Amino acid sequence: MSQVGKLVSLASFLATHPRITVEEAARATHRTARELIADMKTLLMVGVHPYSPSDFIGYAPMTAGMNSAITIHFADHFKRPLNFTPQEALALKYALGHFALAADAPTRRQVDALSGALAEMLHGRAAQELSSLGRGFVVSRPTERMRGLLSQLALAGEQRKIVEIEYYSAHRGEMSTRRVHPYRVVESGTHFYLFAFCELAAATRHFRVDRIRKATVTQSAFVSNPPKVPKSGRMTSTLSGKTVEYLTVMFTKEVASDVQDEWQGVPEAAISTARGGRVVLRLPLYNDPWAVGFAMGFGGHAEIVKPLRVREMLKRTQENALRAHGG
Amino acid sequence: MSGGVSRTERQLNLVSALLKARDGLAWPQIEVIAGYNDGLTKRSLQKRFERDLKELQGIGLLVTSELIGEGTRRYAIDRGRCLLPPLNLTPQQRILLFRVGISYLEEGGAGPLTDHLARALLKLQAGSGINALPDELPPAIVRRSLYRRPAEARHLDAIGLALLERRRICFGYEGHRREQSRRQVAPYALVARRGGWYLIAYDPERKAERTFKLSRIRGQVEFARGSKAGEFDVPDGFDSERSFSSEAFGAGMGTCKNVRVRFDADVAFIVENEFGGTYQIEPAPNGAVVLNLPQAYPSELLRYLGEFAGHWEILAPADLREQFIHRLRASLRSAP
Repeated sequence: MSQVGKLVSLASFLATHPRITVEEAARATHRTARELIADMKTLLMVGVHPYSPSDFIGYAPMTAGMNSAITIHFADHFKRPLNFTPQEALALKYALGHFALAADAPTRRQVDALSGALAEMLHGRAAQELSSLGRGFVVSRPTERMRGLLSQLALAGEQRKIVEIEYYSAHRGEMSTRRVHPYRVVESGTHFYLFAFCELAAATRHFRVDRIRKATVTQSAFVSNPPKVPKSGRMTSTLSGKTVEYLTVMFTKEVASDVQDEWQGVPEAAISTARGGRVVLRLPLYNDPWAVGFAMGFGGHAEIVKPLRVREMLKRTQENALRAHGG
Repeated sequence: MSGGVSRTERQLNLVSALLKARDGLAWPQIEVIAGYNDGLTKRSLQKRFERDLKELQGIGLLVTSELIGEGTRRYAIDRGRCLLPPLNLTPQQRILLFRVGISYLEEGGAGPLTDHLARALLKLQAGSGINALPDELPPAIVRRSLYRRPAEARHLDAIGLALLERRRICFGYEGHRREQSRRQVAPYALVARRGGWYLIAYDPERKAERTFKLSRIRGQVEFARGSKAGEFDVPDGFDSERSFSSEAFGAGMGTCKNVRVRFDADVAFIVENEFGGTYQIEPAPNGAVVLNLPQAYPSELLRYLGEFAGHWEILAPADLREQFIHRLRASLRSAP
C-alpha cells in the first residue's frame, strides 16, 4: 500500500489544521502519537528546489509532547487534498454501508444524506462509485430493536451514565439484573457485546447485546475508566480470535462422513478416526454455548470429549431440553 | 534508494514540486528534484520519472504533459481531476465521519478497507477546510468489525482488497465432495451468512458467477498473474444475494416445514431481537412466544436452540418433536 498516499493525505490534514495538538491530531487521524510523529518526521524530508531551509516541510515544536500544538510550515500547496481514488470511494462507501446497518434510524438518515452529499461534491469515478447501488460486503441487518439498543448503550457510554440491564446469561441459563458502567460496544463475529464494569460482579464483563432484555439509562454518572488492558476472561478467544483452548468432539459413524466433508482440510481443525467408524474432531473453542449448540445440531450423534465443563454443560442442556418436552 | 534518497521521499518531493508549480514542470526543473539529481543518464532518470508518475496515479495524482519545444515536455497536475473540490460538510457530518473512523480504524476492524478508508477520511477532513474538526471529539465507544470467523481472516483481507481494487484473484478450493481445484475469478462481493463469509465472483473459465465459501479456500489467496487495479467492472444489476436463501435455518429438500418453537419468557426477547420483523412471532401465555418458521433443517435449528439451555420446546411438526425427544434420550443414555 502506498506510503506516499498516506503521507500526502496527512500533509493535507496538517496544513488545514494549524495549531492542532499532537494528541488531537493523532485521534483525528486514527493513529497513535508515536505513529503520527514518525510520519511527520518522514514529511520533514520533503522539499523543493533550491532546498533552502524554507523550501522544506517543517513543523514545530520538533519534540512535541502530547499537548503541544503542531505548526506546519511550507505545506500550503498541500491544503487542497488529492481527489478520491476509486478504491477510497469504495472503501468509504462500504464502511458507511456497514456502519449504517447497525445504526438507529436518525443515524441511518445522516449516513444517507452524507453519502448523497459526497457523491455530489466529488467528481469522476469516485462519485460514480459512491452513488452506485452495488454492495461489496453484505451482512445481515440487525432488527430495529437491536439497533435501538446498540445506539442507546453507545450514547450512555459517551455520556458516562450507569445503565441497569436485565441480562440472560447463557452460561447460567438464567436472567439477572445488573448495574453496569458501559465502556464499549464491540462487534465480534456475528454478535455485538457490551464491555462494561458490572457492579454485581465487581469486575468488567462482556455482555452479548442481543441477550439484554431491557436497558434503562439511569441519571447516575460513573467516573471509572476502562482498564488499559481489558480482561476478557472466558471471552478472550471470542474477542481476540486467538486460540486459548480446544474443543474435542466424537461423532458416531452415522454422521462421520458429513463431519469429514465439512471439516477436512479446514485450517486449525484436525480430524482423526476412532473405533467403530467414529471420527474425532478437534478445533479451537471460542465460546462454550456455541460448542453446546454445535454438538446439539448433530442430535445424539455428537459427544463432547473435552473440555469437561462444556461436556457437563451439554448434558445439563439436554436434560433441561428433555424436561421441557415432558420427557 | 537513489543517491541516498528513498523512493517514498523522491515521490513525495515530486508530488510537492508538482503541487507547488502552477505552470507545470519541464525536465530542467525535474532533474534538480532530490531523487532525480543523482548523476545517472537522462534516459535512466526519465524512466524513473515515468515509473513514479505511473505509481502516483494509484493515489489519484494524474499528470498530463504537453510538448513545449523540440523534444521538451511540460508536466502538470490536472487540477480539476486531481484535487478535491472544496467540501461543504456540516458539523454533524464531520462528526459522523469521525465516528466511522474510530469505529473501524482504531482496532483494525476494517480489515481490507483500512488503508483506503483511512486516506479517504483524512482527505475529507482536509477538504472540509481550515479547522474542520469539532471543538471536542466524541469518545471512542463503538468498535465495528468486518471479521467473522478467525480462520477466515487472512482470506477476507486478501479478497476484500481485490474487491476494492477490482483485481482478479486465484486460490485453491475444495468443493463439497472434497474435489480440489485452482480457481481464477473476478470478485464481485462478499456475503456473510451463518457465521461465515462467502465470495460471489465471476469465473471466466465457467463463464458464470460462482459462490465460494471462504472456509473451503485452501492455501493463500493471491492476485492473479498480470492483474491490475480497475481491470473489471461489477455489472449493473448484479445481485449479491441472488444465490442465498433468506431462510435463517436453510431452505429446500430435507427441511422440515411449518416449524413452531415455543420460547419461555426468559429468552423470548432474544428471539424478538434476532427474528422480529423477519418471521411471525406470536405471544403465548406467561410471557412466552412462539416462533413460526416456514422451513428449517433440523440440524441448523438445533444448533441455534442449543444455546438456550431448556427454555424452549418444539411444538410442531410432531415428527420433528418426536425425533428430537428420541435423540435426546439416546444421547443422555450413552453419556457416562
